[in-house]
Amino acid sequence: MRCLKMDLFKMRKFKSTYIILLIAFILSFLVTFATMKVNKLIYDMNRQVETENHTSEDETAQEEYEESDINLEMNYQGAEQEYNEGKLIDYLDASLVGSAYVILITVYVILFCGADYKMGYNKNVYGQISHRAYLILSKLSICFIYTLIMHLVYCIGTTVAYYIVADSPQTGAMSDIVMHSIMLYVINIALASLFAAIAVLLKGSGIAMAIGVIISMGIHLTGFYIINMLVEKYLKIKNFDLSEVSLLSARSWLITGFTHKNITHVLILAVIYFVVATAIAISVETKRDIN
Amino acid sequence: MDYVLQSQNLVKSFGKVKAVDNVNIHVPKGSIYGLVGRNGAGKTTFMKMAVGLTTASQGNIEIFGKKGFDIAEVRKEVGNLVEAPGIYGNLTAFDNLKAKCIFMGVKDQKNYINNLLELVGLGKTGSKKTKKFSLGMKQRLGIAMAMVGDPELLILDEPINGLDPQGVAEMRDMLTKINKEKGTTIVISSHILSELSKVATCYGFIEQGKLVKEISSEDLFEECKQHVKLIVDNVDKTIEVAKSIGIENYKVKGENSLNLYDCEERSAEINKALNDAGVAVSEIKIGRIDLESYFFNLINGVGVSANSEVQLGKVMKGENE
Repeated sequence: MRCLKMDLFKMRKFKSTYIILLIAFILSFLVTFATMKVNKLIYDMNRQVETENHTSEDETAQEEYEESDINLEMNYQGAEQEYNEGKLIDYLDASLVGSAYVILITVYVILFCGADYKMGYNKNVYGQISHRAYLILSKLSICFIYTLIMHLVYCIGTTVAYYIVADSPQTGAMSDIVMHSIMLYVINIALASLFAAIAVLLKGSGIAMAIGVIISMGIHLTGFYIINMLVEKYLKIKNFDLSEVSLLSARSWLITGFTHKNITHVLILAVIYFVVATAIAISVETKRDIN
Repeated sequence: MDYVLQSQNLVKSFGKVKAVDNVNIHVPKGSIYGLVGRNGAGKTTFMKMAVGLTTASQGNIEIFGKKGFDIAEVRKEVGNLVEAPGIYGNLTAFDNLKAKCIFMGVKDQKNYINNLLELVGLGKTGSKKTKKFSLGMKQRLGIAMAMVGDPELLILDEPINGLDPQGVAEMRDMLTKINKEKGTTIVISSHILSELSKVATCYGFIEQGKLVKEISSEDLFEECKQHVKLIVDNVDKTIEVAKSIGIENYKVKGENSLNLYDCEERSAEINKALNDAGVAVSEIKIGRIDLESYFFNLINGVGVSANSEVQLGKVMKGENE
């Protein structure tokens, strides 16, 4: 518990804690704001184009009307279709699965978990703790707390932007919002534990950050695709798909539908990632010589 | 004797290189133990093993009577400053110490930290970030970090590196003070042997990973102090003669060799008395050695008394023949 209290104190004192949260708020706000504005603009432009088309069609239709008794009312229906600005829940889902969110989490987790190594602060505490695993678990707890705060900041940023832009805001079912939020949080803390393990293994070095950013941007999925092809070609295994074990892919599936199957898949994957990443980090850290 | 830190056949290997090789160290409770050795001799590696930053390849360490996994119970009682101090540059000295205080479960942190900062001479640093600290200030903060929680054993690796002369003197006084007032046992390594000799009560000399010798400061003083060294054909008779002329302080060093103490000005008289008594004197020398010379002689594998003494009448101070 004292390890956790110490790490909470450090979290409060680090500037990066606040800077990254500020960036998260601005990004979530701007992305939602811009998306909604652009959607509305596109709708208006389309409507304008359609109205112009209808005007010219009207003139032609008037001429035709005189020749036939076809009811033109039906033709107007397409252009009159109401603008669907979407519900808040749609924007929340979109915000929480965005790459920016994962990149920000990656940066913070690797900075925080790697700081003790970079500064040599671990030498002060490792010599006076009964088991090093406590410090790893404490760091993971901080990552989960920070991910939760980031989650809330993203939700706030998105909600504020939505209510500013939306003409007739609709939140969606609160139970759905809560369930989506929990599922996305679970998958994001699994990602955070993966990045924390990377930071611990590579002692918060630049390589750790580079690997974290590559994973968070999904660049590794290209590698998975190549591996899939090679496995299919040379090992003759049909429908081999490495991306099924990727947390980023799981996030994308989840957003396509919060089905029972997807939720189960995500939960299993998140638990496996968390357990394996934590076990590896603790195992390495316990045996490692501190320099 | 009650030892707070002991090792048995302690070995640390890096590949084929043994950084620490069968070290059997004994740190008495309440002592200031000076660990003396050249760069790369194995001092830091030994200290890292002692504080649990590195695991031993072979052998055991015993701290406060606990061995193996049981050492975890007493880890809290071992403060350390090994190599460079580990501090957050973007935090103040107060905040760096506060994080450690939280970790150690210190109560009344504000007063405790302020007292600690005063003790190490950083009381006026205020809101200054530690990245702007000088090397000496960082070193002081590192020592303060090691002292958080009032550990019973302090292990300090080159703690006076980077300190100015006044800082060295203050640090010396501070270490002596906490040793005497709180009874803290301190293991300290330093290259500045003259400074070490002012505080240490025991010494361990380490070279190429091996502990060459352990000695108390009293014994070291005896070995290093000015004396008349004699090589004679009859040691027993020499002692009789020495006593007959009022010299009671002596030490037999070998079959034909002995040192007489507190009589350096009387070498001519001693020589005459021995001749009169029929003792054949092969060699008579005045010897004196400082800690640095003692160390060099030890690590060069040469007996102290054989190489550190000079011919009669020639004063030797920090000088090796």
